[in-house]
Amino acid sequence: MTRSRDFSTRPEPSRRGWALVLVGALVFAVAAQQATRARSVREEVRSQVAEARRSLAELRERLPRRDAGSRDDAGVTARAVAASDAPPSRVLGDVATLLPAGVRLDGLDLTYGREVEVRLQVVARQASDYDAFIERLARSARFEGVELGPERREGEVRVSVRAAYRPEGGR
Amino acid sequence: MTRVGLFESRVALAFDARSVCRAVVRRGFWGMRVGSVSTASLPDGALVPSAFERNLVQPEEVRRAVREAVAPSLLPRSRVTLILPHGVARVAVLDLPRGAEPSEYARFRLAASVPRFPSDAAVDFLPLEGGRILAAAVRREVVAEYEDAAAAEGIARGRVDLAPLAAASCALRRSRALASAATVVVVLGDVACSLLACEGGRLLAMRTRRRDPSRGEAERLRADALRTAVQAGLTGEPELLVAGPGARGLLDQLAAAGRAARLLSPGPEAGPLHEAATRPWLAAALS
Repeated sequence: MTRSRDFSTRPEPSRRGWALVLVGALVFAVAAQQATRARSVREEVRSQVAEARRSLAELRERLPRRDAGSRDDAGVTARAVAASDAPPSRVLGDVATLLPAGVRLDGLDLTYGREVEVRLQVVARQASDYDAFIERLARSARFEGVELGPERREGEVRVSVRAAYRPEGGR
Repeated sequence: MTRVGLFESRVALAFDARSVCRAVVRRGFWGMRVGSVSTASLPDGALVPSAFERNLVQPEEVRRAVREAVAPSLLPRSRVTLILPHGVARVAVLDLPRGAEPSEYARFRLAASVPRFPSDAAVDFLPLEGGRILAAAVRREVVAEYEDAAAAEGIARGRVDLAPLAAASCALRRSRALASAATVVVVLGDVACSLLACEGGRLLAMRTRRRDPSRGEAERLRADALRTAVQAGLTGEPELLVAGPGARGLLDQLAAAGRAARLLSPGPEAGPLHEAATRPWLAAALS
């Protein structure tokens, strides 16, 4: 005989059945442990992903500023180059060569950037002197983009002129 | 097979029409041995083994007998194997089709003989050689009667076995010991008996009949045994082995008529031959 007969109305689980139950319980326990471990790994990965996202966001926030800074740096560099190529004394000398006798320079404002912006406050005794100055200025190789500002004519002609200075050998 | 550890005990409680019997078997160094046996008698008509009718006609008397039988030495928390008597089950030797699951096939073949639905039947089997089984089906309502009687006396539920199948396992062991001899084993119950035709340790056929204890029972049983042998295809006159209550008286009647027959014991380890032979169901506890 290799097996027990059982005609009971509520047969008991055999030892094999209990063994299967135990194996099932063991498998369940291992699976639960693996699930717990996997959950902790998932949480760890999530935190790492969140950390990486935070780092990425910080980097993205820094990038525009760095670009802006780069642009500022470029402006500073350009200005430095322009200042070395067009020192105020040289600009002033070039302007002076263009002034007719009836025109005087009351103010000179230089702004160094991609170009050297020159703002001139000039006073002309007569309108013809003023016209002669503007004509010389427009023809000069050192100045371009001449823009005439508002003028006051009260006997003398007072006018503000804007132009871009091109230094000799400049870019 | 439920293994019994060294020095562990197993308790069997056998019901029949005239008594409830409790046996304790223990495993020692030399195998399983019957430790103690106690019997409580039942009044006539208190328990009537039947496959279809109510068995415990007087449940109070049966419970009393159970109580008396187990009282002397029921081990605490012992699980008890209940052994139901001859005559409560439908039994048949079946050839298993290839690939068939034994329990399902036995239920398919036998449950139809149990009233109403197949689910009403508790079905189990004894595996035999050559892809065959000795299958049995018993109504759940019948089983429940015995289970309830035992439970009412605080007996822990164990498994339930049938006396015919326990006897068959016993007969097969004995038949193997007889080598190729053709044998018919007559296993007696109080009101029914089982006839098993065996050859060379193979169970070929099994029949269950109600006993008629009137005059000439021995000769009628012998004639039934011979018919069983013919139906099983045994040639020649088989050896007749008898076991169960009244076996000794039956053998005396056969001897007086010049018929050869012997007592069948579940095994030499079961105790004195004549005692063990009266309780062939002990095989259920010893196996």
